[in-house]
Formats: sequence, C-alpha cells, structure tokens
Amino acid sequence: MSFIRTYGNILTLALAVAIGPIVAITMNDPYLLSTFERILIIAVAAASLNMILGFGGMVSFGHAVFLGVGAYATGLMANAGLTSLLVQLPVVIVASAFIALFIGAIALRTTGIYFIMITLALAQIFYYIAVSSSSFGGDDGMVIYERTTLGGFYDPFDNYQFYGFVAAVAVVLILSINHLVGSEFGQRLVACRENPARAEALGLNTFGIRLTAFVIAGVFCGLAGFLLANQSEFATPGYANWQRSGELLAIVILGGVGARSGPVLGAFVFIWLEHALSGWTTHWAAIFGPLLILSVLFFRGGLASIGTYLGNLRGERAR
Amino acid sequence: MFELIAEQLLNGLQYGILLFLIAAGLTLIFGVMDFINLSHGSMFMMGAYFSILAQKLTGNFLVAVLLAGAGVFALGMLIEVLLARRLYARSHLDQVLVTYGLILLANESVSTIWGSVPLYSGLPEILSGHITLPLGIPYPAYRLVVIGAGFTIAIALFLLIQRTRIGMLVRAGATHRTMVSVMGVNIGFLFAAVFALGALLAGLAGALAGPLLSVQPGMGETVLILSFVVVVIGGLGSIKGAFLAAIIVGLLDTMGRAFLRDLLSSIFSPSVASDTGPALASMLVYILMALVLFFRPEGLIPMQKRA
Repeated sequence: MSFIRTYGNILTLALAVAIGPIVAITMNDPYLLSTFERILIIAVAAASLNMILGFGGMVSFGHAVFLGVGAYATGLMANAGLTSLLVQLPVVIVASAFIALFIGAIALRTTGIYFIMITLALAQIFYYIAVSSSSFGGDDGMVIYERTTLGGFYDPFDNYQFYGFVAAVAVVLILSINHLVGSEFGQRLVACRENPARAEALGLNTFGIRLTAFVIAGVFCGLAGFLLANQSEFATPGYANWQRSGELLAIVILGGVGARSGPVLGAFVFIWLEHALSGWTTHWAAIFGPLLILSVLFFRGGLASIGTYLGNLRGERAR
Repeated sequence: MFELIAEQLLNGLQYGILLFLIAAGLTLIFGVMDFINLSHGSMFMMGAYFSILAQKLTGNFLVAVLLAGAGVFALGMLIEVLLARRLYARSHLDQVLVTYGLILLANESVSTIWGSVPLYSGLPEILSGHITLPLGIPYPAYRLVVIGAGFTIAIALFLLIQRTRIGMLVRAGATHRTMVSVMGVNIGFLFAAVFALGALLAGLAGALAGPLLSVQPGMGETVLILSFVVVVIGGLGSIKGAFLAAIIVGLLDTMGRAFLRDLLSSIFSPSVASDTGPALASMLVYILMALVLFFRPEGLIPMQKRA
C-alpha cells in the first residue's frame, strides 16, 4: 500500500487520462470524449482550489470566477483572430493573475468566515460584468468560433487530437500544482495555515505567502478556463457563477481536501454523476444535493482516503 | 424629477427593509450558533411559494403570509433538528457544503412541484392602488405596507432580543454556551428556536416580496448573496449593523439602477453609458463592501468579541 501512497496521484492521473480514449474507442462514440475532457478540465480547477484550500486553509467561495476570466479572455482573443497558444497563454495568465491579485489583496485582510463571504461577493462583481456587458454577449454568453492552434502541430477539430491537447495541458498543470504543493513553498503555505503567529515569528511573511498562493491558484484556474472555452467553444457568465464555485468546493471535498489525487477523483465522480444522472432525469441536482449532504456528514476524508482506509484495514488484519 | 427621486428613495427603503429581514435571520443564526447557513435564501424562496399556495387555499393575502411564515418556521425547525445541530462543532466549510446541498435540493423540489416557470403572487384589491403621500408623491400602497410591516418586524425583533428573557438567553447563549446550559436552560431547544426564527424572518420576507418579484426556483440566491454583503458590511452577528447596512445597500442598489445610466450619459457617450451603467449599478454594493472591508475589516458595527 505504500506504493499507492507514493505514486497514487500519478497513477490516478494516468488512469483518468487513459480512460477517455478507451471508452470512446470501445463504444465507438468519439463524442464521449467531451465528457472526459470536462473531467480533466474541472480537475485542474479543483486542484488549484485544493492548493489554497487544502494546503493554505483558505476557503475561497469565488474560485470559479477564474474559470470565467480564462474563458472570456480566450474567447475574445479567438474571435479576434488570435488563436495561437503562444499568444493566448500569456494573456490568460496575466488576466487571471491581475484579478486574483485584486481579490486576494482585499480578501486576505480577513480570515475564516469573512474570507468565505468576501471571495464570494468579489467574484460576483465579475459575474455581473459578464452578465451586463453586451460586448461580451451578456446573459447569453459568447460563442467561440476558433479553437486554440499550435502552429499546425495538431488539428483542434479532430476529436482524438483535441483530447490529446486538453489531456496534455491538464496533466502538465496538475503535475505543476502537485510539485508546487510538495515544494518548500508548499511547506511554508502549510506553516501559515497551521500556526500563523509562529510562522510570522520564524520570519515568514504570511500575508505575502498566502497572496502568492492565491494568485498562483487563480492563474491555474484561469488556465482551466482557457481549456473550458476551447472545449465547449463557448464562454458564459455561468462559468463564473457562485454555484460553480460551490461545485468546485464540493468536488475538492468529495475527492479529499489536501490529498493530491483528490481533485481528479472528485472531478471524475462529480462530472460522471452529473452526466449519468442528467441522462436519467433533469432533476439530477435533487439527487446530488442529498448525496453531498450525506458525504459531508458521514464520509469525511473523501475519496482519496479510501486507499489509506484499505491500507489501515489490511494493517489491522495482519496484526 | 423630485417625484421620481422620492419614489426611488422609497423603493430603496422598501428593498433595504426586505434585505434586513433576510440578513437579520442570517446574522442571528451566525451570531448565536456560529453557523453559516447558505440555505437561508431558500427559506426566502419557500416563503414566497408557501404564500402562493396558501393564497390559493384560503384566498386571503394576510392569512397566506402568516401561514407561509409558520410553514417556513416549521421547515427551519426540521432542518435544525435533522442537519444543522450535527454541524455546529464542525468547520465552517462543512456547514457551507451541507447547506449548499440543501439549496440544490430546495430548488429542484420547488421546480418539481411548481414547475420552473415564474409564478406571480396576487395582491388583494385594496392594496393594489396608489396612495398620495405628503408633498403630492404617488406611491404604490403595497410597497408602503411592506415598509411598514418590515419596520414593525424589525422593532419586534429588537425588543425580543434586547428586552425579553428569551432574548437574554439567546444573547447569553451566543457567548457563554456552556454556562447557559448549566443554568438549566434547554440549549438544544433554544438553538432550534433561534434557527427557526431566522428561517421565519426570511420566509416572511419571501411572502411579502412575492407580489413584487417573480417567484421562481433560484430566486433565493440573489437575495442570499446580497444579504451576505449586508451582514459583512454591518459586522457579522450584529443586528444593528445588519439594519444599518441593509438600508444603505437597499438605497444604493436601487438608486444605482435607477439613475446611474443617466448620470453616466451626461459624461460619456450614450453607448458607453448604456453598456457600463447597468454593470456598474449591479457592482455598486460589492464595491461598497470592498471599500468598507478595506477600512474596517470587521464591518461597520462589529459584534462584541467572544470571551
């Protein structure tokens, strides 16, 4: 079981990437790939939230705003004819970093429940910009006509090639987040969560570290928004809605807060559940809501803890 | 012009009063039980739906509002006993998630029972006309009733919390939970009652707002976010702060929506004004919140520190 503990998150990621094409080929239905693309994209967003929530102790209830920022930035560029990855990436990064800096600088003056509410309310500002601005398509959203190109390296409108593109970007992003979390910076972030006073006394700039983490998480989620815009060929205010932020939180919790494989597992179960239940009934939220309540009440530790759980059971039996 | 401004000021006041009713329940539950209830907006929605249902059954508007309040009170009690009390000792995050799950459940239940098409709550004949106020300002009678009812409930709430034995226990329970229970008070029941009282306030606001808004699934979310803003601006757990902030937010939001566009078009071109005006108007209260928090992170009138 120590193998799973060490390589669990990479194993999970590899499985999450591989399962899409396998299912699509065996079912002979390339359209199924889009569901698995969404899983990977939402996993990136959830992983970025997990970084500040699970390791920094910052409960952001406005994280989805960066999905919206990334998606709109991508859409505006794509429709203006700027489709190259090399142009789009820097712009998305700068745009989401800028907004994360704005939100973080205000919200991080507070902690706890204030932080939850302020991130929620500040994210709403950007939601309302998107809703009421007619040049962004307002309430109806914005159709994106061109997907991101990479100098003719791949065909963005071929189902399998596009899946490869999304999966590659998502894997790079998730591995980067995992690396960051395990780095010295990640440890400083945990120190700021565990005991801010002691961290400060040790010479750490807790505000600076938290703000840096918040901005980095915002950028990664903005990049998830970039992928989402490409995948759905659409940008809508709904991406930045506070319900979306709630979903992201739910996914992180479902997967397991602070577990590296948690966001991928959580995104997988959530999107798959949404996909399966919405095919069965339009009122799928009536099932998901109670499931969420029950999982918070009785299933603490999330999906990622199942491995440890099994490990512990085994250990007890051996004794 | 004067009439228009006066009318919009009254609209802002009326909106502020509704926001106060919702925010008061939210901040009461938070202040006493340290519980963060996202499903509070759903209580507002249920109040509106219950009153429509009760109007169909009884045909009397006032009775319907009272019945709706009673129904939401019972619902609040049920939620406290089944869910909330298991979560007081848990983190705010768990509370947020469970109550978020409740929102999903509430919205879906409502749209399954009543459909997702907006409903309109009727008004009795006497209240549907206009009244001429002093200075010759005509104003819808029903909105005046809402303002009056809101103030009455607000005063009753102040008296309940500040002057009665129940209020004393609630205030004591907020800071010295164990001590209150040691003195022989059934703290479990007290908490359930406070939770249900909060729900009742939101439910009454919903029933009163029914004839002014379109009643539809998800209608609670907009007011929930705004009442969060109110609670944060006012200072968490502070009823006085919530009152002050609710009136400010109500006025700012209404005035912004009514006049910002014209104001902007006197400076910028009409196309710029019509594009940024509505966006800026819906952002005004959030900008106010950011400003208040920047200078006073604890809100305008912070609750006294817990011992």
